[in-house]
Amino acid sequence: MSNPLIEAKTLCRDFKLPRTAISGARPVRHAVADLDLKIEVGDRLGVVGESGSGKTTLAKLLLNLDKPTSGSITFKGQKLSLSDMAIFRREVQIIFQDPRSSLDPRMTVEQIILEPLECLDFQQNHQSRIEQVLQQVELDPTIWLRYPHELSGGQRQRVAIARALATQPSVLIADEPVSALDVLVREEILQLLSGLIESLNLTLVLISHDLSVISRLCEKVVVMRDGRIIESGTTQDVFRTPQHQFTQHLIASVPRLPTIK
Amino acid sequence: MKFLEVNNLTVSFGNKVVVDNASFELAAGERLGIIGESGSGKTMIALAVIGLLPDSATATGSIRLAGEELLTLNDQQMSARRGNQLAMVFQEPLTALNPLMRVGKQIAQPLRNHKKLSRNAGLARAIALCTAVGLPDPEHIVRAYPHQLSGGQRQRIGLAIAIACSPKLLIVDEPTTALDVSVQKEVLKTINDLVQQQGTSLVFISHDLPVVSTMSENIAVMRNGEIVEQANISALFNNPHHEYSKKLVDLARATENKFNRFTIGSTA
Repeated sequence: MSNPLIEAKTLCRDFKLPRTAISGARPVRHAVADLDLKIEVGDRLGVVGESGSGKTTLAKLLLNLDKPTSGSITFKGQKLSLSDMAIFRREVQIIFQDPRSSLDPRMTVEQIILEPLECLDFQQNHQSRIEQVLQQVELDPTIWLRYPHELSGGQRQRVAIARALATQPSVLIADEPVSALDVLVREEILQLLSGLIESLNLTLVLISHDLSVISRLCEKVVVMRDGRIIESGTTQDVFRTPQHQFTQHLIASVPRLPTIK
Repeated sequence: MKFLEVNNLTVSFGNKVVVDNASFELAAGERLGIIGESGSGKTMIALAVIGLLPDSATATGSIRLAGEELLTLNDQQMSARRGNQLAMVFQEPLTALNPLMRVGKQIAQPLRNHKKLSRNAGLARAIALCTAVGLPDPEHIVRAYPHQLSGGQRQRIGLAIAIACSPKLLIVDEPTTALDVSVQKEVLKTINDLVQQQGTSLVFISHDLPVVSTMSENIAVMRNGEIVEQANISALFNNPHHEYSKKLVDLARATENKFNRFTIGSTA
């Protein structure tokens, strides 16, 4: 049997909290605790949970932006070494929640998208790749020389997506990619993302507290609470027949339209 | 005469008009939702009504609360009404609360100012208000600082401050955007219950149609500083006039249907 694309085994990430007493050990918060997760090629996995449940910490661990306190993460069956990092980064990319803070305000769109291509030693022609990727996110090529503050919220998030796709990754990790956007723009970006995932055959890990976003893009879902996965399965099964009380509570809390006569 | 009458309200910063000729009315005890995207002028309307527009803004037109014109009042007169007759709950409780003051004292502040309560009476009332907004263990919570509370608890403190003097008009600006969905539902229910108990008029501002529609009878749709449509909920959903409202309604319906397909397996 082939290895899963990304596999996490008994993953833990503890954060030490400030001292509460002069002596004794510092209290610890288990942001991610004993978490096992397998991501296969082509998976579209949703991660849901409330704020503070460890979703973003998990994303950072999967991206190797943070080191686990214990446990391991393998990529294609291999533990990552520093020398493989450029390959890994080309393969696994991220979109953050708020493009206003994830895009450097002093860089033009061109520079923003060029950066990963240069840093990660992308082999093809950089200029034509920028052109290509801007086309993929349906942005007009004339915005090359603009700065993030000259763009609308939707355009900014498109640039963030273009940057993530620049090195032709196979895995996309998206941390609340639409929650900072207005509803109509959110819909556009969701459609764009879903089309790109389909056409580029991306493996997706989508982190969101919004269950309707998850149900749009993901076939599988894990529900996190206090750093643990409390329920997992296909999105349909989990949403239709939630087993865990917390999952039932989450689903019941989604704002619904009133019945209109 | 309606309880709140806003006529031809225009708010501008220099040449830039952020609220363009907005008019709406609100009867006593009625709930009005204002919906629109970021930058559409929703918050500016709220700030104009409560008299907290930045100094660089100019407001023209008329805002009458119970027959009294608010736009021509000076700062001192407005302060006497703010927190007393009308009050506001802000979007981000962490920035709206004073980080250096225990929350009990912050809740008691409007009571001490407007109702001239003593310190002890103010604190006792603060504890009662914490209970009213559904905070557990109010005797301890009033001694906490804002950073020691969770997002939902902070927003409840913001609500307690706003309702402390039983205002006749409550303006709530995106109160739950910073909160988790499950907490959002509880906070919204608390607001609804309080408004109903006290017969308060409510202006509820949000960008989220499903949320607004649970919080109001009438909805004003804003776009680029203009109120493009005003209707009661069933009219808005059944027969939206403006193109933008139609988009919002269609999208909300489609999202709901897609989600239903997952949760109950039907597209009712």
